[in-house]
Amino acid sequence: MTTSATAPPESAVAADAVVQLRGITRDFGSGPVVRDLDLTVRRGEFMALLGPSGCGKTTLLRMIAGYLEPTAGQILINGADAVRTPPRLRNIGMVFQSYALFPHMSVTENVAFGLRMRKVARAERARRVREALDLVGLGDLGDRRPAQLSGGQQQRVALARAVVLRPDVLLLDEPLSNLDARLRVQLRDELGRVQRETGLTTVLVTHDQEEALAVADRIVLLSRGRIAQEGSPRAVFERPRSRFVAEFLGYENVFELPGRGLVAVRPEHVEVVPAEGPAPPGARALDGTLVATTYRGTYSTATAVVPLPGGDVRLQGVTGSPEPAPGSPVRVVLPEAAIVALDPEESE
Amino acid sequence: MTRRPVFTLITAAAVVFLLFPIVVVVGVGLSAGTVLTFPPEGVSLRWFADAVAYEPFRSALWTSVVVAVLATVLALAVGVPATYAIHRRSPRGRHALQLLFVSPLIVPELVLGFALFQLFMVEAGFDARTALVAGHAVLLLPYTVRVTGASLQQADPALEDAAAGLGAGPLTTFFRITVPVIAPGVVAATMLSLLTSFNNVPLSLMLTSRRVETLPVAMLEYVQTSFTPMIAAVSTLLLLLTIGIALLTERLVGFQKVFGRSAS
Amino acid sequence: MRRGLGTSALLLPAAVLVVVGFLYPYVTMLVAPAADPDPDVPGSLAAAVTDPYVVEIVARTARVAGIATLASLLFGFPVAWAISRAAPRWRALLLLAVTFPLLLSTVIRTFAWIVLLGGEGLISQTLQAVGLAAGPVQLLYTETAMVLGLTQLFMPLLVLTAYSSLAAVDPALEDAARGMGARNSAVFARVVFPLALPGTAVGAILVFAGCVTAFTTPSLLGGTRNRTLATLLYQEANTSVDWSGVSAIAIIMTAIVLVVTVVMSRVSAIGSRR
Repeated sequence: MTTSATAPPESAVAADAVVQLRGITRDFGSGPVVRDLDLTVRRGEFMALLGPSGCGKTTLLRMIAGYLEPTAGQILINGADAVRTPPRLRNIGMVFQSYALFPHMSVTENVAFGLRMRKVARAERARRVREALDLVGLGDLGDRRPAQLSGGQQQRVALARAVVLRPDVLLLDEPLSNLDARLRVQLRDELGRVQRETGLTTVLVTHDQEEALAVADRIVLLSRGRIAQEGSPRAVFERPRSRFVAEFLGYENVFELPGRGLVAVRPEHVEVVPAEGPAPPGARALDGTLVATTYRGTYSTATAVVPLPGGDVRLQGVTGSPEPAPGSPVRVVLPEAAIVALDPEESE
Repeated sequence: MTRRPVFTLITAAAVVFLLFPIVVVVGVGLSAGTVLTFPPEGVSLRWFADAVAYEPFRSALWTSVVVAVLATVLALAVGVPATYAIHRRSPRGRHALQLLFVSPLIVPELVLGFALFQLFMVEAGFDARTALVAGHAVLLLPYTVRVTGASLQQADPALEDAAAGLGAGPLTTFFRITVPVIAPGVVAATMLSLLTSFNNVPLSLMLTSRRVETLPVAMLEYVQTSFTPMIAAVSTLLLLLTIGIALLTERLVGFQKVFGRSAS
Repeated sequence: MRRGLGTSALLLPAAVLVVVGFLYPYVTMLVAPAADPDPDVPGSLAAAVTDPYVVEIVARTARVAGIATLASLLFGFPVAWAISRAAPRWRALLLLAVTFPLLLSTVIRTFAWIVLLGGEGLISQTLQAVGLAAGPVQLLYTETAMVLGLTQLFMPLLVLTAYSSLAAVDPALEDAARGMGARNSAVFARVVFPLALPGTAVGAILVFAGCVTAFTTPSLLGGTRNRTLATLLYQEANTSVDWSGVSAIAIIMTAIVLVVTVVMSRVSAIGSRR
């Protein structure tokens, strides 16, 4: 079930809503970066704020954390108005993109810092720090300094430091973007595991759709300060509603299909075959000319130009061997099940 | 890439050109005779003994030390908060402020000395020591602001946000996070300031009175009136002191912080 | 979001120090010296600028500063280049050797010249021994002595700034040029030098400004017969009761340095625009 961008009835949501944003706008002086946005983060869920750079996702996160004040709108944390509460009085745990580990303190001291601020007794402090470090798999590295750790280890310390406080909400600002691809996959799985084990309400900001799809319970896709679409990963991915969402998620074929309106089809679902014989049942076939193919090992991708009433359209698909020659007539086959109808575009 | 011999020659010549004064100064200081010649006639430590005992040098040394310490403390006390404000608070007119704090370096020191002399000493009647401390502090401010500024800029600004998010109040954040992180910069700024103040000539020259003068000024007077190797002996002692401070800074902080990119 | 001490409170003490300890005294001195019961700075300035004695001193100051700057540039730039191309382990050492003198007082650094430049000094003896001079050569208290002293004083500054800007040139640019067929000399002349020029120019301008305002070196090596603006100012400040007259000289010095500073910021702006 997908939730729409407008807030559902308050009574149904208030009970398990940890963070509620209503009508949030933020303007830095040259136009709003976040516009009249409503968002609810539910207890225990892992939400991903996904979008291209400049869409407002980090601004939103910093407003939830309290480092930024909204120009207009309400922020409720656990039902209480939080707009005027500074970050240190909000019970949040934040992991920064640069990790922000205190360089002059050891790993243990870093993780213990928040507990010290809350005047937790030494014995309990040590116990909880130990717990948090074990949770992220760094139990033996307590005495090291951040400079002596690898990027992945530093990120885990940052996570432990945030988690040890049992915050109302855990906020992660692109925590994996400084890591290489292999490490990123490894650590995002760790992230998911930690979230499941602790049950912490979590909000992750990322521009990597693969990351969001892999870990989140709910994805909120942002574009230019507004919510473009939100829902479960499967719902958002399999049924994008606008050109922006479809293209962001990799639907390279977004075009006006005669009789169907604006549609999106994934290249992986499109077959480009030599134009001969009858069209297969249960699919739309469009005749066109092959432009080029690219060999990718188990399959090849193909680009074809298809003349349509609205003009020529370039479509991407897959093709088997032998690949058709550039310039030869081909048929672009779009299975019905793969055709996703998009909302008609508003003329701006 | 092969280094052509001509470059080795030029570099060697430059090093000799720039460093031979030190050799000359030490050599003359060690001379046994009373004439200023290099190479010296004979080797002796007599001039060192004389230099250390020479009363004008002793009181001048004390004045120099007091002024250097007080001026450095003052420059740091006003400079570090200002640097923090510039680099962590994004105030309006940042550039203008940075220019303001560096401005004392733009004008000739001698002229500044004269300006302070006639306003502070002649007109307002301050004594030489006060005027010296004030004048030196003004000269040291650009150094403290620039060196600690570089240190702050390199530090991750998110550190203070992180501390706040973890529950630290502004004072706690400042003393537990900001200060330790900029400590190397502050140490470097301190050493640089002490040295700059200690060696200062033009400004101090204008702000001295009959009874109060800094060591470089006393040395200048001596050189212009007496022609014995004692001045070289004092210079050698100062040289050793400078080397000592430089080594201490290196031990505490590493040359990177003082010389920036240039050293790497 | 206001956190802790206001930004203004943090900036105020430093601003007060600069205004009270620098701007106010400086401007008052230039406009109407407080100690002068009847200040007439514009009049004194007009008198000073037309006084041939002062003009000669200004000319000498500019001449000496100019030659010293040129010498620093001609000697210092190749050194900076050599250091930037040296092996890393030498580089740090060389830079240290070049910049160490900057930590010493000008009195100490100038003193050696006094010993060496006199009629009986080492340089005079060497010149005679080599046959370049017939009798003792008195180089002390000459403009040559001042130029030598100033060059030595400021050359490290030039080497440092030139080195900085040379080091900032991306080595990949040189590789690219070489890959396109340029020989080493062309790579230097067409790629490295133009890019390092603005930074080096700024260094040269700093050296010039320093030479113009230097006091110790001209005082010790030039003597009373070769006054520069700085030594003139000092003498007048100590002996004259005409405060406005002294202010006039101060204005001339300040003006020269300000012009130089403005030129410098233009040059470095051009450099960064590239």
